[in-house]
Amino acid sequence: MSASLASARVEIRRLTRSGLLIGLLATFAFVGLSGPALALYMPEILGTATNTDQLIIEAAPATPDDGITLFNQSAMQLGLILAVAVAVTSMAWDARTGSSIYYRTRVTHLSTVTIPRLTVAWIAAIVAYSLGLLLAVVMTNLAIGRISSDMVLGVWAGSTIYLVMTMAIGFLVMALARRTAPAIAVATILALVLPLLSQFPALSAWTPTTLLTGSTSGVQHLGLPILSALIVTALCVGGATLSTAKHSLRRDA
Amino acid sequence: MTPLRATATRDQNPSGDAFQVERVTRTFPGGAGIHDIAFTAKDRAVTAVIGPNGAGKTVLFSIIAGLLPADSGQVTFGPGRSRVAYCPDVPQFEPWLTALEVVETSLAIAQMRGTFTASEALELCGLGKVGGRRVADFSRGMLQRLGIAAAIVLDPDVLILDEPNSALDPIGRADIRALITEQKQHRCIVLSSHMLSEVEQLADDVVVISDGRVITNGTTTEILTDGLEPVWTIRLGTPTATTIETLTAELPHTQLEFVTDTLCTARFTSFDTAAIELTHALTLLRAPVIEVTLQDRDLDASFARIIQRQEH
Repeated sequence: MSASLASARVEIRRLTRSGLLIGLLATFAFVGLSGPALALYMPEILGTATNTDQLIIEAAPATPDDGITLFNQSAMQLGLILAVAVAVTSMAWDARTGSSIYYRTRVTHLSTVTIPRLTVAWIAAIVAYSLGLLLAVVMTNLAIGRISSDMVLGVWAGSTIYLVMTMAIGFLVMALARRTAPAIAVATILALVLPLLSQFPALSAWTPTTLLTGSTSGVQHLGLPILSALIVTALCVGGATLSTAKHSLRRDA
Repeated sequence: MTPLRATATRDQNPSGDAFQVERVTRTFPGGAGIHDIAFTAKDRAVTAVIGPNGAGKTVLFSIIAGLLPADSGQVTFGPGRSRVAYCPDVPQFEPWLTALEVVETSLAIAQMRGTFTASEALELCGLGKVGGRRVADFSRGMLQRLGIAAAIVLDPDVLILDEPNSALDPIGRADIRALITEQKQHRCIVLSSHMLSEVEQLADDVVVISDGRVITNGTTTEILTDGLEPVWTIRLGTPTATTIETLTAELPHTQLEFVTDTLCTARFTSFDTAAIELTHALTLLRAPVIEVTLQDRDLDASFARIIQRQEH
């Protein structure tokens, strides 16, 4: 078995045995079910919560797009935070001297440990997100109405690439910080703040965050953001690989 | 990075030095670190590096293992002897793996084929029955054994053990001592320990470091006798029948002092004089001799002596 495969197997064991995989699947599944339900009952929820004799809020009936949009908003907050934590903790071994020695004295290139583990984390997050989206699509089709496959494909492509990118950012932050909790905190803040970039008209055409806001209009409009997200991902992974290789043992761990 | 993947085998160079540390210096902000460290470690022997806490032992091991670069100097390995395995004082593993998986992963990521299988390495370190248990449930002593198993499974040329006994009970210490004694027939072992009685039993050579510098090094016997005075403690079964005046007259080069009726010290002018006069003194005492020991002849005392001499 190659070193990369052995590392991937360790990551699979980590995800399955630590409960992280179940957590990812459950989180995305939950928002997959709750997003369309929230869209469907939004008029009643708003009516109950805000209506008074003086103020009456009437919400338009839910459209199929609303079901998927509400799912994606939740998935890209709750699910994203968890996915980033999975990516960050895939490198937690380097934050502890004992386990860092275990890996660093056994491989010539640390990328044979780090990249396969990140890849497994990516796959787990994409599978969990896809499951959540599938549930959201089924729920929306059953309860609200039929959605176009173009829209679903656009949301799936945009969101999974965004997930991959933010996980790569978390990976880079961890490689630089080598402290799990601060890395999760910084990466989460970055992941949640990044979507604000698409509010600037000058940037919105190509910023990766447009993947979230513009994905409902179909995959054909996402060329530039996908390209920039892939470039950011590659830079983050490359930077993390260089940083990990350059670092020696943490003496304060 | 540690060249664990070197393919040469020990058979190409069956004797000689395993590696040489040549004037290695590594300093950290604040002045800590090691300075001008130099010594040679023999193949198929145990070299102990001893020193007070913070002396720089772990930094030195990290440099030998390729985990830290040296600011200057180098570590030169003998031909075909560059595979280094390092077991830290607190080995840590991913807690969701079983012990067997830790050792199997050790082999797989290093792309090595050792002389043992993972199960055999665990068996050798006394963990054969708990191979299927998750590491999260392991005590510190078990983790130390697992660290050694994960290291020896790689069949390294140089095995570095940082305080291998620190978390073990007396039975565990005896097991690891036996394991080290067996393993030194196959490879160079470098270890550190604060349990100097263990070091005394295990080490062929000793390097004493303090404040990041080598104070002295040599064979264990040389270190044990370094600065030692020719003073013996003699314990008698009954009080001596010989008067102190007779003893003084008969043994002009010996200074005898009675601590109690049955315990005295005999100080000689030199070890050569002692070789001649000690037996004579024992005969003159005319009492059953229970024990004759060279005073301060243990590594603890030698270490204290060497460090004190250094401080002065």
